[in-house]
Amino acid sequence: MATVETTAARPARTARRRPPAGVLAAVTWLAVVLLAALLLPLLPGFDPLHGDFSAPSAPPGPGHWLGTDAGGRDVLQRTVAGARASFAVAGLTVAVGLLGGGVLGLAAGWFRGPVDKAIGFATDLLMSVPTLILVMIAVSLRGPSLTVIGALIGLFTVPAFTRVVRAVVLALGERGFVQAARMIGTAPLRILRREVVPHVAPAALTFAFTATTVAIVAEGSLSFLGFGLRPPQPSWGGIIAEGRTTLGSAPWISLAPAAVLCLTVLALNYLGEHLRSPSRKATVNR
Amino acid sequence: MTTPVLDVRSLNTAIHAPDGRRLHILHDVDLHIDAGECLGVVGESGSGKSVLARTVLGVHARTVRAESTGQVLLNGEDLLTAAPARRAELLGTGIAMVHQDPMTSLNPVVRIADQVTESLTNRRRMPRRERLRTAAALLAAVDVPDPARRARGYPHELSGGLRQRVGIAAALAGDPVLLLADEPTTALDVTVQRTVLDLLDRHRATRGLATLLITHDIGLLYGRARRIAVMYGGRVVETGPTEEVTERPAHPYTAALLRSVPRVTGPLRRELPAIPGSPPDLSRPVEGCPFAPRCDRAGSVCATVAPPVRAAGPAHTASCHFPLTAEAAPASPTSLERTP
Amino acid sequence: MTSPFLGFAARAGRAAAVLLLVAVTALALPHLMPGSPAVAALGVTATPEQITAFEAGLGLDRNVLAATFDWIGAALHGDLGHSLANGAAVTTELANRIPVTLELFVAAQLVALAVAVPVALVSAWRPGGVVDRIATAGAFLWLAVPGFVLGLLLIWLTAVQLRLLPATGWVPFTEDPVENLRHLLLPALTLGLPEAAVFTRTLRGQLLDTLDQTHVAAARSRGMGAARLLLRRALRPSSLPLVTLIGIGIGTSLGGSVLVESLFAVPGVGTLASGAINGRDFPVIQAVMVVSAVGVVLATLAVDLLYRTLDPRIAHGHR
Repeated sequence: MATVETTAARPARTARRRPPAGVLAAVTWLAVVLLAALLLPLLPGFDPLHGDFSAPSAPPGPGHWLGTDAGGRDVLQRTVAGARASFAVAGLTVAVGLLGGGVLGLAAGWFRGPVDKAIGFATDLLMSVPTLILVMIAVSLRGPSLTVIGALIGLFTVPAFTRVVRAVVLALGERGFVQAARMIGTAPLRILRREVVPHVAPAALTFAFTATTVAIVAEGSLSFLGFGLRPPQPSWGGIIAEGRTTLGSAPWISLAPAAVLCLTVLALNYLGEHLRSPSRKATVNR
Repeated sequence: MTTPVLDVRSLNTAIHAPDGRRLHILHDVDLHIDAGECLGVVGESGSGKSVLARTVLGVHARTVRAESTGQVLLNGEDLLTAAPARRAELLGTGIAMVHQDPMTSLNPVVRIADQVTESLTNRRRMPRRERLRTAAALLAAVDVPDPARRARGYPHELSGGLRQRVGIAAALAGDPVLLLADEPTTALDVTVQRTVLDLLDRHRATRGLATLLITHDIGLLYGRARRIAVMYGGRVVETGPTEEVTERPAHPYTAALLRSVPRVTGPLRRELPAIPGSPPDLSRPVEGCPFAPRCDRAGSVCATVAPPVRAAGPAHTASCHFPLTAEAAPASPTSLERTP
Repeated sequence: MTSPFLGFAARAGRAAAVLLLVAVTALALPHLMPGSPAVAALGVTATPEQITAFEAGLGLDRNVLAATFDWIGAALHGDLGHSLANGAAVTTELANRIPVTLELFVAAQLVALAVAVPVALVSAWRPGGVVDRIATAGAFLWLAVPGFVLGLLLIWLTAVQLRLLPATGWVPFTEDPVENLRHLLLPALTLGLPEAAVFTRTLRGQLLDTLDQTHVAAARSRGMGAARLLLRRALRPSSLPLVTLIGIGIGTSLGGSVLVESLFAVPGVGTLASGAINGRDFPVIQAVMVVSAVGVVLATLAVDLLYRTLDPRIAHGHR
């Protein structure tokens, strides 16, 4: 009767199908945002700093698709420029998180025992401090550079990356083939490269999607509080914050870049979730 | 003739699984239990015996939808057509169930007293002192030592055998007329099994409880069940008084089940024979006899024509084209006529 | 952990180590600043005597460990130093602001629970049903809206468009309870609604596990109805991860309250912190850091105690 009593509705297994519409939409959106951020600034007419004084705070329309801000600057162009800043911070964050979490997670899962305990304590410590406050302090003391912000947000994603990697390494250990490789005398580095890293990489890269959203949101919050990247290189958070004073008269200045930010976070979350979902896991973990 | 407490007439039950499949599980099930009587229902896992109990109870797994036709009469009242409110009212008070695994069938974070008195408190408020007192009395009735203290405690403080006694106490709390016991001792140590079954026997006798004892172990029913119903592929393939069925099985499946039980008397076998093959796939309709693919007596008719219910002795019926009538259980199939 | 006492001692040791590390980091902050904090604070016209006095006040004349222990010693006597910005006692400043932040935090948790618990209960009772599908998709969409965007949207909608609620400011509860609640609502929603999405997902998943268990089937067989079953039997064993989430939330809430408090101009610890960071008011920054770490430690302890009351097996060491 076991088959009858199964409660949780299983997703229908349709192997080797086309990706679902949501995945296509998410990938398309991210591609558009990234390509715009990379390519649009190369166009001759692109100048997010140029103020069109004939049309300050113009609502969205033909000339300015997302309207202009109080200084007559094009909100769409500023949003595209903001994407560069936001993704630059996110890239640095993920690099730091992957590197730090990768090394710590591998070490914790590989050596276990006291090493695992020590790393666990360090990551717990890092998780118990108010992240935003520390980054704010650092920015206030060292200045709002992309390096400081990206590296520090990255530092705070290290515990989560560590957990993800450690869990995979521990699970591998239980499956025995790592022990088997150890017993037949394979060099540890070779086991790491040949057996462990290929298994760890998908999980860690999946988490990178989450870390990217964390970075974008954290940087946005910092900018919002006045601790983010400074003009003339505003990030999404900075642009959104600039528009908050005119929310009543020209809401698009804040809300248009806010919508772009939310959609980007949504797309990243969706892809991360899709890669983590059980139906995919079967193929990823094989 | 008195009305039986439970009278199930040509019950058919289909279940819609969460994945969308429709499984026709029970086929024309007929059985009845009188007051104070124990009916043993025996079959392999997948024979539909648990679905039978759930259908009688009217509570299926949370995410499946069940459809039944036929009649399930409790003291003459058809439960299949009864209003939902009436069915809910009967749960615990008209029909009660003892579950298979006492380690998982009690809520770990709820006091024993609150679980034991559940079928009473669902309908009316009961002050805490009264709950504790009632629970202690019920626990005492199922031989739980130190019942007042146990009522205040939590399930994890008890052994498996004691937990199953708590489960029985919870079933008896609403003073039901019908007790459904679904493999009540399967999860218990062999030494504890006997005392739990004795306990069920005692309450059946003193309270006049009609008891449906479900088991995969036909040996458990000797001396406990007055009658046996053997289920296979969602059908009752043989039914009759326990001695009749166990000593003169008519259906080859019953005979095979009996051969797989170790016996104290009789010749000592080195190996117990298992029944080859596996039960039928319930998602596909079965033509003919469901046991035919595994049956060493099957002829060509068995694959196409469903066997009718035939008398095999006094109050003893079996659904088989080639019953082992009046023969000893390990009969040689070759001595019988095989072609129709 | 074989003995409960050993377990407690280990946890207490860990907590003490965390607190010490946070205190050392906080006291080391002025050292990380490029240039001289004294000159930055007092201006280039400061006399050497003024600079020496200033550095002694921040403990810059001693090594960081010595300064930390001096600071802790003073803190234990209720002296957290004085603000560089206005000379006020940090203790008084914190005493004024902690209740505001706490009220906001509690209100936000209530908002999150008020949304998450009913939605999760209905979703889990009929997984795949209409409510469940809407809630799952909604929670997923909701998670993509960062707190500061949500706050802006709420201000835009309720304060600018509908003119229902004050966008910013604060009135203490003791002064005017109604106004206090009116000012509390938007910040509490901004802080609580994103959490509601996380709470819903967590609680729904845990409820599905619980409802699959045999004891739920057993309770149903005794005639327990859906509402009673969910509230009285399934909710409690399913709520443990939620308790953990709220506990973690206390740790991270200071970051969140910085954002929300500055967005809505709420005079809590968050605005105190961001103002102090802006003005490099080290005594205030140090006090806020250590106090929030103490809050985390207390929250962890509270979670531990709650676990024991929620699941009797933990108290008996069966788990």
